[in-house]
Amino acid sequence: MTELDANADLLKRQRDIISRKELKPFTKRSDGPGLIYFGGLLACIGATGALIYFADGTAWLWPAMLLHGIMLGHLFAPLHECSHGTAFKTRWLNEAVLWFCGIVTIWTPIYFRYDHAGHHTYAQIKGKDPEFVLPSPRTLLGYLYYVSAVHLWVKNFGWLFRHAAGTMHPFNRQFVPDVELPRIYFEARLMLSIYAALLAISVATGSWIVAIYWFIPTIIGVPIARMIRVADHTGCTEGADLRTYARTVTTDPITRFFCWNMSYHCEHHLASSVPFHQLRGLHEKIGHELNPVDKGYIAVQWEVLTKHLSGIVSPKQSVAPAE
Amino acid sequence: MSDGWHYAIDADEVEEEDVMPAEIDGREIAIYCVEGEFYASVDRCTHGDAQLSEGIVIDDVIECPLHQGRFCVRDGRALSPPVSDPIATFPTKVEDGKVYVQLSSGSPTA
Repeated sequence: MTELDANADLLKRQRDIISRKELKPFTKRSDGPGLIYFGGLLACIGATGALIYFADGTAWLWPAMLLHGIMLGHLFAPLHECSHGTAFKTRWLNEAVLWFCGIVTIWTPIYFRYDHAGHHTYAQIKGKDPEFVLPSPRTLLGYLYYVSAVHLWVKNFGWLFRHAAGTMHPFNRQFVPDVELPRIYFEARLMLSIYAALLAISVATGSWIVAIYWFIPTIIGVPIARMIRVADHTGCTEGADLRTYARTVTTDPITRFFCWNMSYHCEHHLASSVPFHQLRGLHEKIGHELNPVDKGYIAVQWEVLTKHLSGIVSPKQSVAPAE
Repeated sequence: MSDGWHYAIDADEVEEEDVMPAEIDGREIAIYCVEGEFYASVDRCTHGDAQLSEGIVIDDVIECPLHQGRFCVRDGRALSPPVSDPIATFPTKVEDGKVYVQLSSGSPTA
């Protein structure tokens, strides 16, 4: 199936579940919810940053950096929402938050948009989905590699250095039109320049501020956000089935706040033009037709570990069926 | 109607800040209504080939339903990734409550 065929098919399957007229009220944009969620997350980041300040020089420094890193890792949620352009109605606000989150979380924002569009076109199709999380057969080692975020840094720094050098991996290249390449190469150079400047200032001044308030927490804290991503698709149908190729996880309001309602992941893939703050309403309307899992994120991790792995290092022959 | 003007849709079928599909001589056209004015474009996104008439209109922007690529409905400009190529737009006029689109005289406006 070509990309154009896949897109036409995706829209047709969406219409089988909900009409455009029914969907339209859920696509309404506003600034308020995004400002509350983003402001709330920044406040949490500020609070955990303060914990680092007070814990500096004590044994509590590393726990404080871990907590701070978990908060920083959740900036992926607004980055993702802004990449769809649905976080805020005001466009410049959307772009500003996209860039801020991209720089802090070390994701190249323009390229991510193309990569993520490819994910929505080819979700769960092996060899085509650029964000396929742990395709089967999957192993415990593969799970740990993903959740530890080693794979993330290999990928993201790979993007940064490759694009800054003016090249792009052939697999990634299929998602980007020729005319956009200069902008994508420029964003990588700009981001690397910012990181290099921070490093140079830190070395020149002998300051650990950048390291303990940003870099180290970002590295050690991101696994929590990775675990949330594991729950989005892992173990679900590996094929173009809007009803079952993702998982909607019933969870508490605090977790929904930190992941910007991406727990309603089936609904997000059904209609990515629906902003995060309308996903719950969409879930209440058509969620029963999709793939809701009433057990929370920790239980989903356990399900993945106990039902959807087929070996420790290399896969065994049989694989448990996906839920 | 002469000069390449074709009937597209009744004006009252297109709500304010919305889009509707129309078929003219086998061509799929999207008709937009923005601040009481009507605009027309091809009904295909230049990125993923989705029907723009399935998308949403925000101010004078049509957003593709699949990947949220955005185009200006007034002149077809591509406004943000993942779209980079513009969409073709066409002149429109309203007579007796009917929206007409000019397709054949000259090339599209984008």
